[in-house]
Amino acid sequence: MLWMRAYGWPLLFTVLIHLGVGWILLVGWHGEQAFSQPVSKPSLIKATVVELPKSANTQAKKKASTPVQKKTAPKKPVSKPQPKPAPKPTPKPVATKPVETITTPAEKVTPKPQPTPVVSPPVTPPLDIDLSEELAAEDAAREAESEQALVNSYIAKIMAQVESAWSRPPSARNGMQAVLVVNLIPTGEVVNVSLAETSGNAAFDTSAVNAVYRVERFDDLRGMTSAMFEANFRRFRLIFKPEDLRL
Amino acid sequence: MRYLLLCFCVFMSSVVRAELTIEITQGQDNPVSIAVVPFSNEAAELTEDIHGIVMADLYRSGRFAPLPAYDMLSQPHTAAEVFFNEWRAVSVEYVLIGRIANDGFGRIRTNVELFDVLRQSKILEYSADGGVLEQRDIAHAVSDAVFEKLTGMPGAFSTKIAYVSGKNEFSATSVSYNNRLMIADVDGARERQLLESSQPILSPSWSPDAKKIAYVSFEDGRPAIYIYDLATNVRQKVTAFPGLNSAPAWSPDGRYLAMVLSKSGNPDIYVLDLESRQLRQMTRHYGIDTEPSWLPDGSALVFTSDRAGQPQIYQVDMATGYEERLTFDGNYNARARVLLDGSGIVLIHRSEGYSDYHIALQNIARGTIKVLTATVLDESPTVAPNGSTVLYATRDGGRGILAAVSVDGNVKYNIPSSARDVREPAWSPYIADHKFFLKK
Repeated sequence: MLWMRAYGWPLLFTVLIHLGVGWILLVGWHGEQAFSQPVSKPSLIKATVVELPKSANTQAKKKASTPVQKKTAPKKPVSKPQPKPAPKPTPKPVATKPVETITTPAEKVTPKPQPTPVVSPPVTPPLDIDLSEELAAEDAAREAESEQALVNSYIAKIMAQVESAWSRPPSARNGMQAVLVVNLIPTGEVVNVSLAETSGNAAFDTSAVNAVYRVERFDDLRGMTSAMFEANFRRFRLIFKPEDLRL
Repeated sequence: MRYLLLCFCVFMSSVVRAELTIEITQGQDNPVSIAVVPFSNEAAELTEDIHGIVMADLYRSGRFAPLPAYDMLSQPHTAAEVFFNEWRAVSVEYVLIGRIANDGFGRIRTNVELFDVLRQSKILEYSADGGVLEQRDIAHAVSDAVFEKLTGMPGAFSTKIAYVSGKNEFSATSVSYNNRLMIADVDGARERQLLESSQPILSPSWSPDAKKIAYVSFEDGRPAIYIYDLATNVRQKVTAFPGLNSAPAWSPDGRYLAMVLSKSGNPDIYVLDLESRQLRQMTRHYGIDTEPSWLPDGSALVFTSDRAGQPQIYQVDMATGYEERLTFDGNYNARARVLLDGSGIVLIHRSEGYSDYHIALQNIARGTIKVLTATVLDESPTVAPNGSTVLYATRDGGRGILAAVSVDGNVKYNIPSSARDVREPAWSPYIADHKFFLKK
């Protein structure tokens, strides 16, 4: 019985630790998953939210919402716990909601994708009609902003495609710079590439021009509105300026 | 008012015109796909595979991925037979076609044409000719022309390498180590023996005109520096001071020979004027100073010194004698060679906390060091005259071999050699006259 007095508490402690470890192993450690997926593509989500204010039928909405759901589907286990404490996935969707609810009846809000049911409750009811002009202006500004965001996301795609096609010659050095003018047609196909500013190294210039020719077609641009295409991508400049070379 | 409106319109139009500008700052640097179509051959005396040599040269440069012949949809020999669409279909960007013929005077002529598939145009027409013994020279000349056209830097396929090969030789009574000073093409072909000795031969160094080689020999029992004249096969002893005579290095103008002498009691860098025979001491430090190498403009020497407790690279100015430390990364940096455009130094490097010696490239402007090799006991880096490739000595299966790595670290290959130990490579400068090397 003496051993009981000497080892009792340590024994109990040890058994508890083992039970605890066993429980964690069996039931699983849920805490970690919450941190595991910080990455999202905000630009795409923003784009779909902009389309919502159209007083559209539900079918159009389904079209708009399906891609979003695809993107959010893998995130589901994560995104569910997050919105409850902090009801903003990104600042912008929050701003959009009140405006929509003025112009559209409540039923339209319900079939929306995931983020909306969380965000819909805020301040909407007390707004007056007098504010509508200001709101329209705000709306336009916001739309321009989100359009810019959309343009930026297309730019990022163009950059990625050109970068992966660019093989620099061994004579290339950091700091060289060649400027090309690229002409596209709405399918994203490259119709003309011209050298606007030479780097002084013919092989470097050729490598830049070839990178664009090698891309052949910027597939991601096809879904874009023709206004956006004409304003930005019909003709644009590409600056080739390596910063990642060893020399 | 109308004027204002006009101004406004002009302003607006300029705003509208402002084009979207996208900046590309990175690339993938994948090898460029090229199809080297087997050349047509009408020369009966052809003994070398000129087409195969060109293909191997381009592949080894690391910049090109030649399309295997069995993937070619057709094998054209004339411009009229080149159909760009079928090359585009197999993602080829350049097509090289060629014809080999005898010109009727015992000389072999190779005509090649290079096409840009993306732009659907011919971008190079080149022809090289030579005697029966010069078939490899013809092939390398073609490779050089293609490489220069596509990369913007001259090819170095026609250059030579000098190196030392050694082997244990067993006789009935003793074992001796046999040393040879050799030269060969950069692809390892056409080896030629210059010297043979039972004593060590070290540090071959090419003169800038590629007609002489300075080296260190122990044939008198102690080190002395010699110069070997490739035209006459005559050699001449340059220095044999008491103590160390080592690491000769020609200045870019060919007038001076930098070297290490210990005649004052401790190894220091000296420069010998080969015309006036005047000797100038460049460093005076109680540490060991060794392995001098010239900056491309001859204005300064870089060298290895252990004055800070461990080997690091220093630079001494020729005019002022001002000394400056260049490397700070890693606990071992030695045997520096400066790239010809002065943008980087190739050296042997050991990182802090590691025991392996690698070839590395230090960017002079940024001071950053990038390790280029994965082998562990790398020695004696030497840079191609166009700065695209580094040749070095390493070990493979207990035997010394020569290996090469492109300066961007992407391509590594071994130079084939006989069953002997090979070490101390030295890459020649550009060679003006190739016939020179055909003589025995």
